[in-house]
Amino acid sequence: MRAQHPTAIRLAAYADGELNRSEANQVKLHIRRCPRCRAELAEMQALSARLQEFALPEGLGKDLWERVEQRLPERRAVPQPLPGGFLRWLPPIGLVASNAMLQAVLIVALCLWALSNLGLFDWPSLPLNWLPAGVQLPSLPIEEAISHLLSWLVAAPLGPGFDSLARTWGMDLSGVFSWLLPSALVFLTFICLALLYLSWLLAYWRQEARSRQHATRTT
Amino acid sequence: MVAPSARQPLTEAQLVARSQQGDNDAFGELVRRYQRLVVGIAYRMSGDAMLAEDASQDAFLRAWQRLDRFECRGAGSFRGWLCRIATNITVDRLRKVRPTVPLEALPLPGGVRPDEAHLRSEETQAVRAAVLRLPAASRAALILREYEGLSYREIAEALSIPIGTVMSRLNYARRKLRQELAGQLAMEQEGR
Repeated sequence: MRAQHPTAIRLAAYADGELNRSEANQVKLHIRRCPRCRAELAEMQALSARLQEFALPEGLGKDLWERVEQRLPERRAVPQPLPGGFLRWLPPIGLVASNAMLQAVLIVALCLWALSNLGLFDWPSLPLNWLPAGVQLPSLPIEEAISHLLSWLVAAPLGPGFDSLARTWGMDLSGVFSWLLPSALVFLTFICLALLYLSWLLAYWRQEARSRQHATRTT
Repeated sequence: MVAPSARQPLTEAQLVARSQQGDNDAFGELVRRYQRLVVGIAYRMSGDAMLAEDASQDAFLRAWQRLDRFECRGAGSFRGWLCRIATNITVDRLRKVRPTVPLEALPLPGGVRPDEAHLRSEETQAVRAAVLRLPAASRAALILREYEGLSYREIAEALSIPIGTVMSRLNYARRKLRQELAGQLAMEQEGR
């Protein structure tokens, strides 16, 4: 059986090294015994060699970067990937932990308030007894103001503590305000924490989406 | 910044990533690495040194502007992408600037005019003229293969055409060149 001549395209692919090993061997074997294809291949190789005469002029493209750099417009950097590890999760963890701690304090305070109403717990008389034993505030004219301020800072976040604070000012707020004001304060704190968390979450989603979009484009 | 004292040169992917972050120095390194490639494509597509210079600058500027959209698919992908940009820009410029210029009017390398052709051999002129007479599509495939050494797959990606089309365009270009340069090739064959 007479072997078929490879097509010009196949022969060119052989010359260009684009055939796989098996195909290349077939063409190679054919060329060995076919003067016509051998001549064809030689002509292709001669053409390739001759084409190299179309060379680049000396100095063409010299200092190209310097010229390109002068025309480079400012380009906004691609969004940086989010930092990995613990740092990445520090803001949400901090916010959730703050919220949880606040909740715990509130629950404890409410429990103590309930116990005190049942007569099972006595609130220490603020502002004098909350200081550690042996610690005395300096006896200054503003001592009372400082005591009030400190007691407010400590007691205000706690509903029942607010009542004590009121008592230090000689005010009887044992009605609605004794729990409403601190509750509102705590509630506002919750809202602030939740808003901060949501803001972080939105920023996180946006950044993630941009990073993912960029990663899709670059991988 | 590209580390000046880096022990190993940065890879193409590293340079591309830094350039995407807006690092001019990294992009400068990419330009220096590929300027011969881009200039070569532009020059051989147009046959005009001035046009090649301008097209090369435009090609790198466009690359810089579109770097965000570049998808790095491994080693050499940036080169293929750059080839595509350089080819497209040169073809666009040829269409706009010089839709029908007689071949004799084309400036020779280094700005030499045809009447100063003593600087170049007739054979070289013939090769240059034959390449420039090819249709742009076939010429682009031929240049990427013969002068820039791209594989069929790389040419296909650079020109956004199937590999089969690359092969047929190359075949067409080579057939035309062999017809045009038949005399030279025959003399060369006899000389062997």
